[in-house]
Amino acid sequence: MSQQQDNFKRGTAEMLILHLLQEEDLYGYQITRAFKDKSNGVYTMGEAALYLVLYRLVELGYITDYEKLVGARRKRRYYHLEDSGREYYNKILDEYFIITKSIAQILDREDIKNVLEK
Amino acid sequence: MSLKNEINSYVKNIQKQILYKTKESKQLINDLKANIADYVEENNVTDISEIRQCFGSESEIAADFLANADIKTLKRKMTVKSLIAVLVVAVIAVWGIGMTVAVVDSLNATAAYGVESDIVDEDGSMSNASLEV
Repeated sequence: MSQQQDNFKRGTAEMLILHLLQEEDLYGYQITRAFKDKSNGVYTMGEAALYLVLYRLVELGYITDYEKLVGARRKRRYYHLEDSGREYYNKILDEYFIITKSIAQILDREDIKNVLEK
Repeated sequence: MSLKNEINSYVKNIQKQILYKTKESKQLINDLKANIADYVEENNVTDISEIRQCFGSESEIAADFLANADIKTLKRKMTVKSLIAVLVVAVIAVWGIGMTVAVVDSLNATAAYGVESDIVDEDGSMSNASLEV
């Protein structure tokens, strides 16, 4: 994985995590698996990087975490999207489209512009 | 070695390679353990190499953590660690000096020395030699 891809992922991870949490509460392993499955294995993220983003989002109050008992002793930490997180998600999603559209315009790539306009 | 022990040693190695114990690193280790347990359960894992392949090697996970961790927290941890190291060295040095002084003092106290002197009386006779300590 190139450094550029890593940096790009770091910048978009927050948005993607918040997007996945809109549907239902998820635990860490489900999030990494969803990234992998939905992107056909292209968008994968290291556990450490993913969890650090999750901890930051919890700290900012955009998501909350709670533990659920699995089996007799094992606990799973689930993440839940809060209203402030939903607002934040919409904000960064708008920013993402604006930036991606401008990049497509600079690159003069009709294919990307068309995808964004759909 | 059983898979359980291998997983424990894998996680411990990650912990060691992260170098700094922060709230985040401790939480990450716990979450990682839970994730590995989920992965083992879902995929019927029998070998640690499968876990390494899925989650990455110990050094990769540690490097990933250090590259993404809050730089301010790490800096603070580094400073605290250096301060503790300096303090430990200072305490050892003071203790060493103290011990040396104590040893020298005790040696001086036990190895008493004396000066034998002859006193010549006015009449020219020599009185008993005395020992001054």
